[in-house]
Amino acid sequence: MKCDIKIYTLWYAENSSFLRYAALPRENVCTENLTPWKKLLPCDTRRGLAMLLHPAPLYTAHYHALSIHLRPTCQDESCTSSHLELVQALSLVQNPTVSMEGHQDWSLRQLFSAPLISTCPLASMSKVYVDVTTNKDRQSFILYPEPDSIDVSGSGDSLRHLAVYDARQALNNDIFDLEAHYQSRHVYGLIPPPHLHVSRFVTGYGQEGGSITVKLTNTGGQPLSVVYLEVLPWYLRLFLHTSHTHQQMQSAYMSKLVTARDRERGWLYEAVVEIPAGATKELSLEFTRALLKWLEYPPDANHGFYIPAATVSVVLPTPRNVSVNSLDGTCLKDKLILNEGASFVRIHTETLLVSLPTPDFSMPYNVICLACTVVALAFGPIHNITTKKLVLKKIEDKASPLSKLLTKLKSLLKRSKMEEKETKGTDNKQEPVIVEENPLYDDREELEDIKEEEESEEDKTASEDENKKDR
Amino acid sequence: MERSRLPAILEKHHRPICIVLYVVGIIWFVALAHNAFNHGTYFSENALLPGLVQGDFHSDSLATQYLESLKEESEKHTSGMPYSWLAGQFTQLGLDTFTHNFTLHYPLGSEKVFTGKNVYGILRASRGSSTEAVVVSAPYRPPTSLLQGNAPSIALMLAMASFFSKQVYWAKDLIFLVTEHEQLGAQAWLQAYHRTQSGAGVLNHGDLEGRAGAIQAAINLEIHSSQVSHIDVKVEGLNGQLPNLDLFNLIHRLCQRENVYHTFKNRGNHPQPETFHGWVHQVGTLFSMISSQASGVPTGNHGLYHRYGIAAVTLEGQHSMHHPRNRRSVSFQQLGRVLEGVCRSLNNLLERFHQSFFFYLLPATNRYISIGVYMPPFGMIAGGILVKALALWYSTSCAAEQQEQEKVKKIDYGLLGGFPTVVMVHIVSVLLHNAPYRFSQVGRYLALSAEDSVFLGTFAFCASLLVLPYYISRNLGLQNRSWEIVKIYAVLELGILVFAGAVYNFSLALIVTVAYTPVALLTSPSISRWRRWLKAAILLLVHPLTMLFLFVLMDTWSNFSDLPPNKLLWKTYIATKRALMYSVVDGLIYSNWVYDVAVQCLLPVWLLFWQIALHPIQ
Repeated sequence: MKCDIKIYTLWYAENSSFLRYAALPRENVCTENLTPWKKLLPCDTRRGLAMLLHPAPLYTAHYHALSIHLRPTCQDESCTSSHLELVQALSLVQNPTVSMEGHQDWSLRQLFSAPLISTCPLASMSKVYVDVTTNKDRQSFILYPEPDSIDVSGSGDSLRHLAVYDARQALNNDIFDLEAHYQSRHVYGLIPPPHLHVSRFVTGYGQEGGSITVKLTNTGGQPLSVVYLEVLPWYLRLFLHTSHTHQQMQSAYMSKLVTARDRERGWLYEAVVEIPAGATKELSLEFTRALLKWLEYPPDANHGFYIPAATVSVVLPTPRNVSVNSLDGTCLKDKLILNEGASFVRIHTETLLVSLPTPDFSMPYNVICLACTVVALAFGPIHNITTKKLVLKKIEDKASPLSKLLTKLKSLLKRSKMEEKETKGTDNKQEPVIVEENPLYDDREELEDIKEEEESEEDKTASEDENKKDR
Repeated sequence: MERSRLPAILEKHHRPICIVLYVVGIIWFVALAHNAFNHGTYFSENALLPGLVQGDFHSDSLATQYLESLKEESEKHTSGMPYSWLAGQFTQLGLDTFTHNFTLHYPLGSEKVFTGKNVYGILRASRGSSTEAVVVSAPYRPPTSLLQGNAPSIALMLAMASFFSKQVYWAKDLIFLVTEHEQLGAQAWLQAYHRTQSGAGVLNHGDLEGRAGAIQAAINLEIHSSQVSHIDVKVEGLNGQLPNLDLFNLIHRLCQRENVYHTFKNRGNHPQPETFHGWVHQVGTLFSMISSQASGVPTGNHGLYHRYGIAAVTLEGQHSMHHPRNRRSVSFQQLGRVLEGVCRSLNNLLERFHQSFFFYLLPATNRYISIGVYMPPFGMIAGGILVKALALWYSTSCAAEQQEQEKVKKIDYGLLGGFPTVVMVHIVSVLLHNAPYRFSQVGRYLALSAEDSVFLGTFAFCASLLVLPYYISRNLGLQNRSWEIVKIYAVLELGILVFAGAVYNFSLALIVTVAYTPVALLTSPSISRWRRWLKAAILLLVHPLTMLFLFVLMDTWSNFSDLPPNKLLWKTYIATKRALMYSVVDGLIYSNWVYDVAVQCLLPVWLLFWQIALHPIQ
């Protein structure tokens, strides 16, 4: 790769109508992302630094991020032919201090579970850098093997010492395993805060309202002008009139607003905030939560909805706490050199989890169960009523309803004894009988046969029940 | 006009119907404690996967070390909290450590200002991006505190933080929170986390520097010694809110797995729950839960999380002398394993707790009575109130019709007739509701403590309200108005109160219903002086203030049963004063509703009944 390519004109940045912005808040990076990412490398994982990228140590790390940056660049000053620049980056944070009770020693073998054994022949350069800015006089740790050279760049806030290893040279005779040996155990102290600190969170509780609050803290000695960009889904319905109180708008200016439209587009909100030196500013966007259609809920709807990170763009006066501030550099070698003076930084805030009012998704199931039960229960009687004709036979004795009830109760109590003694069908004469006539059947005899069968079946089941009781 | 028969039958037989409903309802409800009527607990949320992995917490010696150095440290700060020591320990474990300041402007009396500080550390998850969090909290108690010390929980929490920070499976951030001033610290922290305010200008919650997304669950620890006999699980929260039953089941399951003897309301499970003795034991547990839930006061810091939709419980490790001999005491190792299992299960959660019950009563650690089971008996107990209202409405409309036919107008049966009385009692209740602040201000001039002045003021106010009926009847000429209409108002208001209250704080509604249904049936004016006084005496017995006194008396008696009666009464009097004061202050700081409900809803109903009992009739 040639490192002398410079971006001569930022033509794609001159017209903002070419700019597209999208964020996917809920995507976990895992091995299925790593494999295609590795395939983009010139030597895949067969040779070179990429051989260090074994999934196991990568995914037991405390933090890891995969990224791909694509941008068009010009080949020369006349810009007659263009290049497409692809930058692949993998960030990994491991915390050996915690797992080793304060010991901080590390080595490539320990971090990646293998040392470096080859370089990619297609690569024009293959180098390993170790930041030794805090270890100028080699008091805190010693690197083994000794670095080929130490690059010193910048001054003041931008001062940076880098120990450089050329992997090709190092691999000439042997495997390359870089080690660092520390003099003492690590003691956690106060960590100096960065120049600009942003935190974003949801306030309020319940399923009705809430607000997204962003807290911007400027710890530096100069006031900062910050661009705060928020892209929110439509199902958070913002209240801009309450968000923009007089007090809040004294230091913030809303530079862009695109209102949301249900199921079509989300919110775009951009504000420029002035933060005085050593001060904290807060912006809040109040919202209510929309009730979605039931098919619009994702699986595990009670988990909540992810809200993408906001971005905060700022030009810091000094490159303190900034890792890369050269935007037009192409190679890592150039990027690692900090430019003095103002440096542009874009900070992505936390993603948020907002719970929307969620219906009871087991309800359709319950309704189906209930409806089926009702249909099943209703079918029998309705079928009977529609297919059979009810004819009432006259009863000879006219007893009062109360005495009828009493006789029924008595017969219930005496039933077990009665049924043993009585022969079949004797009590039929005493009870009012309903003869069922089916208009669909013309043949009476057939019907009577069916009736008899039914009766005999009933008797059978009754006697069976009795037998069971007796047992 | 012909009337349907059902209301007439109801009107004719409403007394026996009400009595039968009431008695059967109570019997049914008490029977629910038997295993034949309640159900065994089960997991609804499959994502919890409790006890799926072998616990490997082994830092019990580290916990013991932490305990020793914390004890040394707290000797140096006899009344405060060793903030720097705690913050230092969290920082050395590599956690994001923050302190949180809060201020309380005491709302009554001399309006003193108290300040406090919470210390918390956040273990950032390696498998997530700080969108969700689980809280493990413990209140700090200085050696001068009257309550049992809580240093072992903080030591265990630190040992767990040390163990957890080495693990890489966390998908949710873990917040380790040490609060000061008991529930006040927890309330201030939660309010600051969610930026909410209850009771304007009382608790200034300050601001938090670090946050960790939406809190899914919280476990509060109160372990009083390094060797405990059992773990008591506490669930009752503010205003009677309860955590999701799945969380309770989770702790039950993991305690069983690690052989930790655990109880609910300090009562273990009966070995033979099906027997009569088992039923009596479970009734005891059930009523213990009902009495603490009814008070609306959280039984631990966990109770404040419920309002924010966070399932939370307190695990209290106690060392009791009455402990069964055959059980071994529980060590840090076992407790740590239980907590490790709980936190890992909560870490597995995909959705926030929503599957299982939020409304339930517990007769044992493995049995529950769901809302669908306890509502029918409650409906029967409270049903008498509605039957009475219906019967009264029917009889008054019959009487009004009869008057119209006879063309003599003796008594006014119009609905508006009872209206002035109803408005009047509500106005005095609102006055009393806003009075405690004034009472405490007046008390300051009289050199009374806030506690005394609020109690005496409320007592005097209530006592002076007893003459309200004479005043009203003289000025409004009630002889010609129907007392039945007033009673319909009173009974309907009571009905609304208990039925609406039952879905919010069931236990409170149950107690009010059991006490007030007989009164609602009994109250009527009578000509005989003796009967009138008897009814007045019964009414005085269910006055909200008297009920408070009786409950405190029962509580005091159960705690100090060996005291002579005069000392017991004196102690009860002191405790009643304090309880009244607490309910007023809790309403202002935590938004506890019990005082509001008692004064704004129950007292007007009682005053209406009092009015009816002393109604002049010829």
